[in-house]
Amino acid sequence: MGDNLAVVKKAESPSQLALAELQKRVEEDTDLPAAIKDAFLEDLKSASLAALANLRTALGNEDNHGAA
Amino acid sequence: MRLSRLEIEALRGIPKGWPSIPIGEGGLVVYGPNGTGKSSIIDGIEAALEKESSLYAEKRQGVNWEKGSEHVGGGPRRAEMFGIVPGNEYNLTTLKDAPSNVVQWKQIAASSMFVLRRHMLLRFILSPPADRYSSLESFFNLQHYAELEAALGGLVSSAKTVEAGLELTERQQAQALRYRIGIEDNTTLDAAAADAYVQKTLSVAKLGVAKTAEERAARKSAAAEELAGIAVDQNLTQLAHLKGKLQEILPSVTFDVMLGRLVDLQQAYESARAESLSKAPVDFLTAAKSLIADQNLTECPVCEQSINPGLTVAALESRIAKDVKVSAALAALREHRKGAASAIQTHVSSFKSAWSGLRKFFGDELADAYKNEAALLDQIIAAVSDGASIDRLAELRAALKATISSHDQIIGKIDQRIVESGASRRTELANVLDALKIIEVELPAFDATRAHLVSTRKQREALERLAGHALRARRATVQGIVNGLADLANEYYEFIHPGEEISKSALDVRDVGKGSVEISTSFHGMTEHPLLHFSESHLDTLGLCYFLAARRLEADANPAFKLLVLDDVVHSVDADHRDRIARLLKEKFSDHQIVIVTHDSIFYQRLRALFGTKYEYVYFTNWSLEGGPVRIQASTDIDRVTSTEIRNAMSQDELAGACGRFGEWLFMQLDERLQVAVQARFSRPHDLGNLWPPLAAKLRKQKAFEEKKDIVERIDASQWVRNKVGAHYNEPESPVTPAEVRQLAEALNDLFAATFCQVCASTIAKVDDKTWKCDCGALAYEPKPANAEAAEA
Repeated sequence: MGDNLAVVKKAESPSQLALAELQKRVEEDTDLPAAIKDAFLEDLKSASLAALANLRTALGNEDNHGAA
Repeated sequence: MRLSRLEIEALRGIPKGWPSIPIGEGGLVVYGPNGTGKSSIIDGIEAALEKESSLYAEKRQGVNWEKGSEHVGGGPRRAEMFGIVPGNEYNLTTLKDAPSNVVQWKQIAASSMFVLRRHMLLRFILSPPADRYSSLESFFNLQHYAELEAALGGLVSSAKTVEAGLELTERQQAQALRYRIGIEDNTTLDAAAADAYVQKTLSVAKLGVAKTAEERAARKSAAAEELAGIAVDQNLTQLAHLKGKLQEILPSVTFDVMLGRLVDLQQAYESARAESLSKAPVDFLTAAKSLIADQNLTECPVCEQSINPGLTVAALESRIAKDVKVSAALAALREHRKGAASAIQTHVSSFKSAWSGLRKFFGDELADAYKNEAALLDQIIAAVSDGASIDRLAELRAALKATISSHDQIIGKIDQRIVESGASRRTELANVLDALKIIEVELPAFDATRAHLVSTRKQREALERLAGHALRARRATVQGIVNGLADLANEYYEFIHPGEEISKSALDVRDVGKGSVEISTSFHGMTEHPLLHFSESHLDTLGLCYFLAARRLEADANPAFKLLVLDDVVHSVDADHRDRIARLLKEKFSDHQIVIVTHDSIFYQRLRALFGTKYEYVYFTNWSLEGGPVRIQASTDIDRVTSTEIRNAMSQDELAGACGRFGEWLFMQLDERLQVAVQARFSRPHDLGNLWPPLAAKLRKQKAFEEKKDIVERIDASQWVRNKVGAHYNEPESPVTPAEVRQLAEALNDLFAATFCQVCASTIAKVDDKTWKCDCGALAYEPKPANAEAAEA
C-alpha cells in the first residue's frame, strides 16, 4: 500500500512526474521522425516548456524542405 | 500563518453588527441545533477566502451566491478573515500590506480543496467518471503540464488546418489538370499523362512530336507565332478565358470539408471554455492586466477597492495561464476562420467573373445559378468572419450540398460555341500552348503542392503521436496519483471502520476523453461501484475519507496551507464511528487548523475532550432575525461535571441529568478500552445499570489501581441518586438533597481525572492483565518494580 503513497509524496510536482513519463515514452518511440523527436526532447528540458521553440524550428525546417 | 478571527456582517444568517468570532490556535468548533446559523460561519469563511460560498456551487434552483448570500435584513454584506504570522495580524481577505508569505497562503487556498459540506459528501462517489476527474484536477496540480499539452494541441490543430488547405489546393489543381488533359480520376496524373496530352495536341495541330525540352520550346514558338498571325476574335478570346475560369473553379461543395473543420474547432473551443476554471474570458483578464500594469493602478477600476498592482498582475498572469487551453483553441479557431474566409473569397471572385461572362454569351438562365452560388458563398464568408454559431454553419453546409456539382455541361456549351465561331485552327494551337504550359509549369506546381501536402501530413501525424504520448503520460501519472489517494483514503476508512472487511476502494483512470476516473470497492470478494453494496453512512464516510486523503496529500505538497473546514459531515454515522472520526482528525490532522460545525452533541462533546484548549468552542442555542445566532458559554456535560463553578451553579435535577449522560459516556469509553465484558443487549442501548457493575468489578481487581479504589466505592455509594433524579419521568419516592447529587458528580469527576489523560485526550486502555495506559503513556497503572515492592514491604 505504501508504494503508491510514496510515489505521490516523493514527487516534486505532478507535472514533473508526467514530464518524466512523457520523456520516456517519446524516447522509446522509434516511429517518430528523428528531427522532431530530438527537438521535442530538447524542449522538455527547457524552462519555458509550452513555447516548444525547438519543435517549432524543426517543423519549420521540415516545412521548407517539403515545400521546396 | 494561522487564522485568528472571522468578521461577518449581513451575510446569510448573520445580521449587521454581529461580533467577530475568535479562532483558536487549533481551530474552531461550532455547535448548535438546526437553524441556529452554524453554516453561515462556513459561508463566511468561504466568502472571506474564496469570494463566495460553495453552498450554491451547483446554482441549485437557479439561486446563486449573489442572490442567496445577503442577510434578509439587508445591509452590505461583509466577510473578512484575519490571520497571524508571528507578531502581526493581517487581513486575509483584502491582503492589505500583507507580506509575500501571506499572499502565497491565500493563493494556495484559492487552488486547494479544504471545505467539505454535507451536500458534497456523496458528490465524489456518485458523480460521473468525467466529473470525478474534473473535481480532482486542482488536486492533480498538472497546470504546468497542461500548458504543454495545450501548446501541442495548438500545433496539431494548425497542422490540420494547413493540411486541409493543401488538400483543397491539390484537389483543385488535380481536377483542373485532369479535365484539361482528359484523364479520369482513376488514372495517374503525372509527367507521362501530361506528355501524352502534349503529343496528342501536337498531332491534332500537325506540328510533329516533341520529346525533349528543346523540341517543346521549338513547338511552342511555332504555335505562338502562327496563333499571333490569325486575326484576333474578341469573343473567341473571352470564351476561351471563360472556359479556363470554369476549369479552375471547384464545385462549392468542396468547402464543406472546410466548414466541417470549422464546426469541430468551434466545438473544441466551446468545450475548452466550458472546462476552464476561470469564469472571466482570457481577453478580459489580459486587458485588465495591461491596464493595471501600464498605469500602476492602486485601486481596482471595477470595485474601487485598494489593490497591490504587483500582486494583482501576478495573480492575473496565473489566471491567464490557466486559460491557456481556451487561448489555444481560440487561436486555432481564428486561424481557420481567417484561412477559410480567404480561400472562399478567391472562389467567389471566380464565380462572379464566370457569372458576368456566362451572362454575356448565354443569357441569365445559365448565369443565374452562378450568381446565386456567389451570393451563398458571400453569406458563408460573412458567417465565417463573424464567428457564426454551429447551427448557422450547419444550415450553410446543407445549402452547399444543393449547389452546382459539375461545370462539364457549361464547358461543353462553350466548346460548341467556339467551334461554331469557325476557330478550330486557333483552338488547336491554343490547345498546344495549353498542353505545353501544363507540362512545363502547372504539373511541377502540382507536384510541389503534393510534396508539401505529404510533408505536412507526416508532420501532423508526428505531432499527433507526441500529443498522444502526452495524453497517455498524463493518464499514467494521474493513475499513480489516484492510487496514492485511494491508498490513503483506504487507510482512513479502515481507521473509522476497523475490521469491517468492506473497505478497499480503488480509482481507475479510464482511456476516455480528456480524463475519466472510475471508483470501485471490494465487498466480500466482489468489486463493484460502492453504491451497490454500501449503506448511506458507509458512502458518507467513504466520501469523507477521499476528501481527507486529498487534503492530506495537498498539505504535504504545500505545507504552507493547512486548513480544514467540515460542515455537518457526520450526520449519518453512529456514535462509535463519530468517535473514531474525531480521533482520526486528532491523529492525522493535528498540524491543521480545523473548523468543524455540528449539531450533534455527542460529537461536540467528544471533540471538546479530544481537541482540548487550543480550540475555540462556540455554542449557538437559537437564532433571531435581528440578533442572528444566540451564543452561550460553550459547556458540555464534561464541563458540567468537572467544573466546580458550573457544577455549583446548576440545579440538582440538571446536575443529576448531566451525571447520568456523562457517566454513560465515560463508562462506555472505559468498558471498551479496558476490554470489560458487558452483557449484550438487543432491545435497548446500554446504560449505567449494565455498564457500571462489570467496570467496577474490573477496577477493584486491578492491583495497580488500588490507590484509586475509593472512587469506585464512592460511585457505588452514590449511583442510586441517578435513579432517583433526572433519569425517569416519575416523581422520586423521597427527595434527594443537592449535596447527594454533588457527591455523585464529584466521584465521577475523580474517576474522569484518574482515567482520562489530559495530554493525549484518551482514556486508559488495557495493555495486558496488569497494565493500563493512556495512548501517550503519561497516565499509567502498572505493577511496581520488584525493588520498589520490596522497599515498601
